[in-house]
Amino acid sequence: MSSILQVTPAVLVDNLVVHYRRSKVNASSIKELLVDLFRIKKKMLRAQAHDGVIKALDGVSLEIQRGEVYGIIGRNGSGKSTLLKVLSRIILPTRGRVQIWGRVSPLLGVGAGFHRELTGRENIYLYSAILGRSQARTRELFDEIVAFAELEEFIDEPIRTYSSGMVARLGFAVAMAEVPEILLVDEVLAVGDERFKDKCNARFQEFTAQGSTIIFVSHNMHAVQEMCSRVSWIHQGKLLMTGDATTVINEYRKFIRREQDFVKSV
Amino acid sequence: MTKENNIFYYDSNDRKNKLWIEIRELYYYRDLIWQMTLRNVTVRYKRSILGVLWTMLEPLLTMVVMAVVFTALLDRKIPHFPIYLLSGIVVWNYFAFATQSAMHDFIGGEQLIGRVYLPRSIFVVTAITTGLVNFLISFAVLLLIALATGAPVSVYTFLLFFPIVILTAFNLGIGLWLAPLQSYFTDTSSIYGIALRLLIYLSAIFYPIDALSPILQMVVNLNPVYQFIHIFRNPVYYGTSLPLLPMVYTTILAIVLLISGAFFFVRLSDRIAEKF
Repeated sequence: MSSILQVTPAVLVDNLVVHYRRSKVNASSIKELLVDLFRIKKKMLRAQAHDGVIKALDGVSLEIQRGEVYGIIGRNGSGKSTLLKVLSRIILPTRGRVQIWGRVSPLLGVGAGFHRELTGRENIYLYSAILGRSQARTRELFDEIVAFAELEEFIDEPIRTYSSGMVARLGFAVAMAEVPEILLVDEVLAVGDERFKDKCNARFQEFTAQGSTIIFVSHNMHAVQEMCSRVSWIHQGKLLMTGDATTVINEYRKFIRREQDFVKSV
Repeated sequence: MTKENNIFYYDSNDRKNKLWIEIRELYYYRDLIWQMTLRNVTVRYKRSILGVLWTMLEPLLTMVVMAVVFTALLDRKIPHFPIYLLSGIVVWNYFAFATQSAMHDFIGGEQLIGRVYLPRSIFVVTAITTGLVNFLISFAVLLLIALATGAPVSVYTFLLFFPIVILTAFNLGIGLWLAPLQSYFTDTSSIYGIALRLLIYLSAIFYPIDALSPILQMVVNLNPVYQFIHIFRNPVYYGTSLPLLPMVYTTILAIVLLISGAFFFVRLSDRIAEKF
């Protein structure tokens, strides 16, 4: 029975709150801790803890359906990246609840964990494993990965000899080797080369055709409009609007224009 | 993380069985544990001409140098002194190297953990497994030297499989305690370094234990690292079977440390997440 498949969404975010603590609040050495213990009363500690909190997300709720291409927009520092980090389980919610049905493949921090001294081949296995892929599966995908990255000639060279473009290509090739259940994409690919970008976009089309859920965070409204069916707009940690792509993007553009006019008039 | 109808399910509120989740995730990432261990062992020698051969050659040469120097310096009429010394050093190095790199690798891993999800304990685990691989190589070299120099190596050496497992659990337990502590208090590694320096002199590596006063002998006997060394020396150096009492003592300590360390680690790893 595929009842679960039909009933559950891919991602359910309920009233998500994320606070960052400023690192100063944590006593960072044992000496400081001892000093704190003897000097500071509870009241002061509480006040201090209050000062040191940054509210990155403040009560965000989302429901993303299976197979949907979902856009998240907002200005810099609005909390988009924090949301992606919670969805990829890098950070935990301070309050609220996140439920995910399916393994998440993050396309953020691509190439994290690459080792300069290792060859392209060794790095493919290492990075694949970091993404949770088994060694046997990587072996099956290996030739495709190398072909996609267009690095056949250099695959047994240490990647310290690669250009930054080659390293990025290798990272994306590993990350996108398999059709993901849920894909998180942060910003449009920073791979420079237009041709490789097109290749990646074609790959996204394949993913959607095969039923992947894609969550897409971007400043590029063209890309969002082109790819996404529904969009959420986050502003200063709060969810301002959710709806079909055209409506939300139009409102967002109006808002940005108004703001620019305001800046000009001042 | 539970599986429902073959779909992975994540619920951020499910924090009751954090230890169980952590163990499951470690199992899910088991190939990464292997990859990272392999990287840690080989990457040091990547640019050298002899390459991976160094993983064998390095402990061999180090041991030969130590055996020669210390025999010249401190021959105390102990028969087969080089084997006595080296068996102590090999065990000590595993313990000291693995626990210290558990701390440092965990801190070094924070950068990666801020960019992709990984079970946080993986850095502690791979520090220990890396230490284990290096230890096994050194230990094989030690056995070769022991056989070559005519030390009374016995068949009981095969039984050392069990103390190796116990020592690994012991190191992992200590690593799980140290890593989150270090993440909170940067002083931890300095304090631990000094503690190690004290401990190495209380491990009867360079001298026989009966050269000490009765009180000091008692202190050294309580030192679990000395007990591990003593266990390893039995089949390799004395040619006898494993001593029962030290086995019981180290087993109990290892189990207590591992379980308490695991709980301590998962309890604190939540709060470490807030630092990002």
